[in-house]
Amino acid sequence: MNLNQNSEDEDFRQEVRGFIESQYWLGLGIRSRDPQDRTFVKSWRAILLEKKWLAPHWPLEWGGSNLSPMQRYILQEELSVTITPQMDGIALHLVGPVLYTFGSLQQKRRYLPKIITGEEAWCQGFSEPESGSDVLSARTTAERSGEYYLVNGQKIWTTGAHLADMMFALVRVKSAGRLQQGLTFMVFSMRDPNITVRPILTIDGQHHFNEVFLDRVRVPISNLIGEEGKGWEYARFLLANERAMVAQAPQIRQNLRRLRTLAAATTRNGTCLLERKDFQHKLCLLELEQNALELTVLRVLNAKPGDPMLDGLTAVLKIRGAALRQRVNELTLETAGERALIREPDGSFVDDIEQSSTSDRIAEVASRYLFSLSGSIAGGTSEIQRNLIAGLVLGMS
Amino acid sequence: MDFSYSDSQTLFQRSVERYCSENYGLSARALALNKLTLHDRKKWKEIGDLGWLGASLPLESYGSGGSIIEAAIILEIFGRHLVDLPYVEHALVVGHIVSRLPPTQEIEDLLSSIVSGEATVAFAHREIEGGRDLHFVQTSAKPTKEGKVQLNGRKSIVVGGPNVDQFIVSARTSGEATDRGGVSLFLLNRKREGMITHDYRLLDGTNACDLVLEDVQADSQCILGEDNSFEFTEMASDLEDIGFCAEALGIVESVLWMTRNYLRDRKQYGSTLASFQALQHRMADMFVEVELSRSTLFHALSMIGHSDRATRHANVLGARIRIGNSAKYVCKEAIQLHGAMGMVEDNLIGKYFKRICVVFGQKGGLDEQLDMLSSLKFDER
Repeated sequence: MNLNQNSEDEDFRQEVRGFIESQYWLGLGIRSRDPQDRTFVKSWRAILLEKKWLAPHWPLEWGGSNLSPMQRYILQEELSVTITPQMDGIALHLVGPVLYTFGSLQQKRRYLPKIITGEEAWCQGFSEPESGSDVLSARTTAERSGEYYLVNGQKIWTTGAHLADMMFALVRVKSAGRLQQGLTFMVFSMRDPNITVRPILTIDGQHHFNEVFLDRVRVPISNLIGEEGKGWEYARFLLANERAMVAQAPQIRQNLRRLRTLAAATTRNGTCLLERKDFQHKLCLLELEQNALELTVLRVLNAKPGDPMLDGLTAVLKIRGAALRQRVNELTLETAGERALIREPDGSFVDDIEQSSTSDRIAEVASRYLFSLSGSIAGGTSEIQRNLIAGLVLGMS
Repeated sequence: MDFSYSDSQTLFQRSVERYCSENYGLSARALALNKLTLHDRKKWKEIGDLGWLGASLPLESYGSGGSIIEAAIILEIFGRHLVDLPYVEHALVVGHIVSRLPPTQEIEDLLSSIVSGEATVAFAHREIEGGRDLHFVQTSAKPTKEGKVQLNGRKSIVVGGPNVDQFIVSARTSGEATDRGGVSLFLLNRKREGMITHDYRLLDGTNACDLVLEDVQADSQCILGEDNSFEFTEMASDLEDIGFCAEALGIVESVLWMTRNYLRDRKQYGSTLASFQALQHRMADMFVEVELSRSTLFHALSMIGHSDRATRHANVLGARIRIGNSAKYVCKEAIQLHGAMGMVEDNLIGKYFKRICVVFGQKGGLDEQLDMLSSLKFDER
């Protein structure tokens, strides 16, 4: 049993820190590091891409790196202090890996380069109005018609569909009138005139999600990824690759840092919040939970493939990662006080917790908390995770 | 990083498991607990012969050359089987204290007999008037005209006190009760005049006592002087915490699976209780806590050798708090899920819970310790 990081990995961590210091803080200038600032995001993205650290889990030939799973995690931990582009997650972590693992060479050549340069944005068409937790009950059909599939159906909760160039979707192939039992993985352009996107506003005041209506959309058969009927297998494969990421531990660590900073700058009844016992207790308990979560991530990262504990531990990470994030964000909201209740006259949420001493409006804190409520719902609800534990680990069903 | 056991650790684990299954199997255990015997000296000598008492001590200290991980392996299995041998107090804590004392012939001989299991020694330090203050010592050691030292005071909850051979007693040679310094350690045989034990049982059946010292005459030569006994006290506390964390992990593992088995067997309304989703989810939440406790224990084990004392202490204390609260939750849920059976004295479920209450109720309790940890983390500037 070796519970210490090896020195190579420690050296790598220092290397990443140095890189961030010179390229992010110094190199990009003292501009406001605003995720809405497109130029800034583009510049930082290009720097990461050149270093092969934008999608380090990808194969070398497609712009990835040689880093070990542990090193990729260290990279993610260190990058959590920077503004990392959010939208890319779907393409870089979901569809990209399926394409480079199960796609044809033509498909890889067509799609992977534009994913990694950010030229094409993607959205994921899995959930449907009648098919949430029960993914396999999806009803969107793809009927073979000569050189095309005709896709009919509706997807929902589609993040970024309003900005996406492409969609990857799970559909049910219909041929000669018969519906296939399994689901099929295919990709198609969101520019098709037979696709309608309708926004869904969420309680955080933001537009992330959409409904997507597919009305006899013609998809060339060359857009089928892998084999018909194996789509869910491919999707499960990519979930298994992302086990350690599901807790979002580095992001939570970043949220805890912001909370501490905010508390240190907040006074209640003449006492700094960070000096109040009740607040200290709460923060202490959150940090103990964070330590436990992070160690669990390390256990998952260092497990041998096929370790029977992996499924259970992944469920642990999902349930508790989401819960901890919510608790941290809720305490941040409480700490921010009334200032966080104020939105702009047009209803938008005002930003900048870093400038909270000058700004009297930091409703972004509320927005962040409200969105974090989706963490226990999306990607497999906490209830589904408990079913998994009860079935796979405890043998109760 | 590697969270799996090495081959030799796996073999070691299996041999401990085998011994406990044979000697501390469920029915034997239930019987023994009901008889309220004193600590089994015969078994203590047996595990001494097996080298387990010195499992985490270096070879130079008559130990087996292992680390805290070997002690954690033993304690997890002891926890699983509700073994009532005071390994944490008499082997882990006392072993490490004695192995670090200034080595005289007397100390060398003592260490050798502790590790072999021939001699048992208890560390009598705690005084509950001190609350959560680890260093509180009112028991006094004053010089006499005859050139000896006279000790007076009362030590609380000395586990195994009723039948140990000797006590290492912390007594104040200078300063105020709450001072960190000014305390020395004395080695005292139980038969010395003025050494009185008031024997009792703890909630989980552990035999313990208050140790009263009434004008006890000792040689002026203490085994450890004033200058650094507070470091020993802190080390003892950290070892105790991590030892109990390991034991607690074994306890919650056992409780989880016992409860799962019960739910699979028990039928009501034509189905097994295990088929009810509400209960499946409660069991899943218990599993989550068990695994997070395991992760927390690993974290603490990686910190126990940290070069910075304050960092080590804070992390081990944090582990105790998290694992203690978690273990209480798991055991309470288990009792609830057992229904009326959970209330029966003969049912081991309740005994596991009482063990957790005893272990984590000490040193002021978990809420006090959370307050201490908060002070350590936030009040230091």
